[in-house]
Amino acid sequence: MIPPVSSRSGHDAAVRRLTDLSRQLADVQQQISTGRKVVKAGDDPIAFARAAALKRADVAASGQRRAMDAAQSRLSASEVALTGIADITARAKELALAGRNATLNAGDRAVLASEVQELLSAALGLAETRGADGEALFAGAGTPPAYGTDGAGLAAWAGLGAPPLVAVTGRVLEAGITGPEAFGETAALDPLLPPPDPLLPPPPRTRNLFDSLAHLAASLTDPREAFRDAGMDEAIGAIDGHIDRLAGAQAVLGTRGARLDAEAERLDKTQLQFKTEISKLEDTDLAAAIAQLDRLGVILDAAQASFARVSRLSLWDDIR
Amino acid sequence: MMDLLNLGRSGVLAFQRALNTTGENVANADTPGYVRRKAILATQPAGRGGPLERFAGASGVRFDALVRDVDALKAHAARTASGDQARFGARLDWLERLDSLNTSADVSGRVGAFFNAGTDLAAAPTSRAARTLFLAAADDAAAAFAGHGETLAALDSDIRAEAALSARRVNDLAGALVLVNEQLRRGDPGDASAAGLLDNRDSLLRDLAGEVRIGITEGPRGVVDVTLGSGPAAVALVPATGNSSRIGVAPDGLTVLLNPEFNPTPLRLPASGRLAGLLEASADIGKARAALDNAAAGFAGLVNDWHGRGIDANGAPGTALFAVQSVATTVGKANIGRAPIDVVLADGSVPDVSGYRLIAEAGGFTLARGDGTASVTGPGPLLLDGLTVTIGSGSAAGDQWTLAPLNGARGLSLRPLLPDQVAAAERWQIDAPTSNEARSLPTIFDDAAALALPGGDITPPPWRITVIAGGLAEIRDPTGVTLLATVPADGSLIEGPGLRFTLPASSAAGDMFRIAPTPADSQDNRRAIELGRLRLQPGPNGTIEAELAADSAGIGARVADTRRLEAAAATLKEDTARANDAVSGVDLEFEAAELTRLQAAYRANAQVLGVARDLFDQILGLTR
Repeated sequence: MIPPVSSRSGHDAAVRRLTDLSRQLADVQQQISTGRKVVKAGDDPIAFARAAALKRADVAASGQRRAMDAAQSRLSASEVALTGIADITARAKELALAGRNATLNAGDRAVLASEVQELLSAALGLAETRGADGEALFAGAGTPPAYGTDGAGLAAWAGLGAPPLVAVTGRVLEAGITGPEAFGETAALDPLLPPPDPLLPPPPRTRNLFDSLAHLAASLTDPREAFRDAGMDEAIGAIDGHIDRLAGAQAVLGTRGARLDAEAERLDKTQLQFKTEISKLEDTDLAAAIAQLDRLGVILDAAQASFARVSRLSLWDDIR
Repeated sequence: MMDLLNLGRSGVLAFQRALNTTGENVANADTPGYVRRKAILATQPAGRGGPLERFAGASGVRFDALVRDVDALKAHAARTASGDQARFGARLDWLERLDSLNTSADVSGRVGAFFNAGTDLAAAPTSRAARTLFLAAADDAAAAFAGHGETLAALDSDIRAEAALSARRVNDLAGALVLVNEQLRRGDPGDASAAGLLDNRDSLLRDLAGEVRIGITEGPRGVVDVTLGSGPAAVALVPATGNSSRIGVAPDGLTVLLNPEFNPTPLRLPASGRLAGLLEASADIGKARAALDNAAAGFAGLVNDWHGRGIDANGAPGTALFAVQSVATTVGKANIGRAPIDVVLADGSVPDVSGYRLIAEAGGFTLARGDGTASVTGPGPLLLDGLTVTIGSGSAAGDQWTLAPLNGARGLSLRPLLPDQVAAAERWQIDAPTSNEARSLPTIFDDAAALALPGGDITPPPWRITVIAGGLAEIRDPTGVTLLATVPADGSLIEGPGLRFTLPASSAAGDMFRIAPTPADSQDNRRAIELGRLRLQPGPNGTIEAELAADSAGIGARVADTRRLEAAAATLKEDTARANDAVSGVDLEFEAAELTRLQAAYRANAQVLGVARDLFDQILGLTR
């Protein structure tokens, strides 16, 4: 039996049902036209919180990716400069070996020395390589220039500290290498030692790459044979050491670059995953939404038709 | 004979009134609050059977009473359900506004953008562009907090105003019920005007139940006694005789007070009705504001502390990035003039906690601290405690303004910093020659205020530290002057006033270390990298961004929860209203059938009259 209903509430209830259907239709339509089903936290708090966390991580990963790209370009610029300096050093060794040949006369050696001088200034130029923002790549945390000249006329590292860092998951890497790490250091002379004997070649001394090249050029043109030979031997040994050191420095930069590459690849995959999940949480499933729209439309039509039909039925037509 | 005429007459009259009642029902089919009237017919009391009186056996019919077709229980259920729905409806309405404001403010996202700008700064510490963008992102994050704080404060004051209106409506309805009670007591039960009054009473009760949960006791003649809530402890709102009580909302926006004007007593209201919903939403908005203020304080504290430990591009120590206080101006309610007020708080100034009062006088203005400890007078602009108050034209003597210090989210702003003043570098640069035995570097912490070595020497770095025999080291300045001859070089903490540092345990005699202050334009980015670490450092409720997002999600969950409750309450309201309407509402089909029935009865009674007249005519004819 149909429960007795007052005309007013019956009418109201029917209208409310129709309004509700229209609202649902409008909701689905909005989902289709915006392409999103979660807009506010109230729509689906759990999906919203999850999507917010994913978006946060996604945007942070984009920033991280940019930072890693910058570090990567810094690393490759350093690597290119080191490769150039390694080539220069190899050439310097060739020249040194040629200069050690006793058959050369002073003029030949002077030619060699002038080429070594050229190599030295080229190497110093490369050691001043700048990054994208004008920062000296080999100055650690310091400001350009990376190398200056000390009181004794030797090339001295003018930087300080360590190169800038780049954060990758769980740790930080140095995005670069300092001058001393790549080119060695010149040991300071102990002020307490007695002055060198002018008749004997000075004792061997640890020198950085640039001082070694300068030492090589000076030794090549030294007219005293004993001094020249001792200096040349020392320079050849030192340059061998520098070649090893440069290879090591390039390997360090290469490893850091590879680490960044791997991290970048991982980040890209993670970001793709983030985007897929965000889309799953927030985006409208168009097929389902259109089917629902269709179904709601049919129901609304039927409800409207039956409401109109039912409200036409009336006993009043029969009262005369 | 006379009896038959009388019977017919009584029937015609009674059914006419019954037909009138049906007609009234049909006419009021769509009147809200109208209760279906029912005509009660009763047998006419019989006469003694005298010559001009009715025969004792036949009595006829009379219209006994006009009753309202009510079922008190169903009406009560409908009222209660409608109050419950009103509670969830009001709560949902305001929480949805809160939710939508929260979503559009996107504080969490803008704080995230600030941290992302920090990552970009770390990638290019010497780039002016990165520094400018970092400051812009910091400004936006501060604006997100301040703007959202302002929006929530406005929402809070709106909902308080609405709660106060709701309480006022309760008072008005209670006052109207007192009047209706009085009229009911004086009137005649069972007639049309009494039925109208009762309709009126019921609609007042329904409106009242929409605001607060009420208990109703119906007395003689329909006089009602209304209490706030039900049970023996319920407070009387409308007594059967006498004046109604008044309620009001406390200034905290959370409690209802009985007799707010002369004897405020906090009331515990049952959780039903719009007022309850508004108070609940008000509590939620208050919580959201507190959470935002908390997050703002946490964020500003974290970032300011972080920035203060760094060195900027000028080689100077970092300063606070955010100002955490500002000043809010309130215009006096009794002001006549409309002068605009501009208040600027100088960078680094702290407004007095007691606030300020600005008063317009005949010849100028007076700006005084709230506690009266200081004041300035003049034509303006006025300067006090770093505040610059500029008053536009159009003020009238006697106008007042209140300036209150603002803390929390609303007080947050970016300090006026230049891009070079962003401190992306650490304070100290530490390095060592590659020939060192030690595989690590010294560590140093200082409090940036004063710094002295353990022996009391206050020469700041640069220092050269040389490890000597016996696990000791000596500290010299760059020119070779010894500052401290022996310090332990074994990893143990070396402490001086404002300074702590360690030398690595792995160092061997002959190792050297260098500690130097970071120069201007350094490419060091360790401070900026540290911001990335701080971003991920969880507080008691997770990272700052997670906390903000969780607050948003919490509001969303409350909205979703309220939406479900509201839907359930609306269904219940509809069901109870339909059940009540089935008794009290007008069903046109039913009335049509009733009309047909009464019409037939009327016609039959008219026929009785006709037959009586015919009989009378025949009898009169016999005498001719």
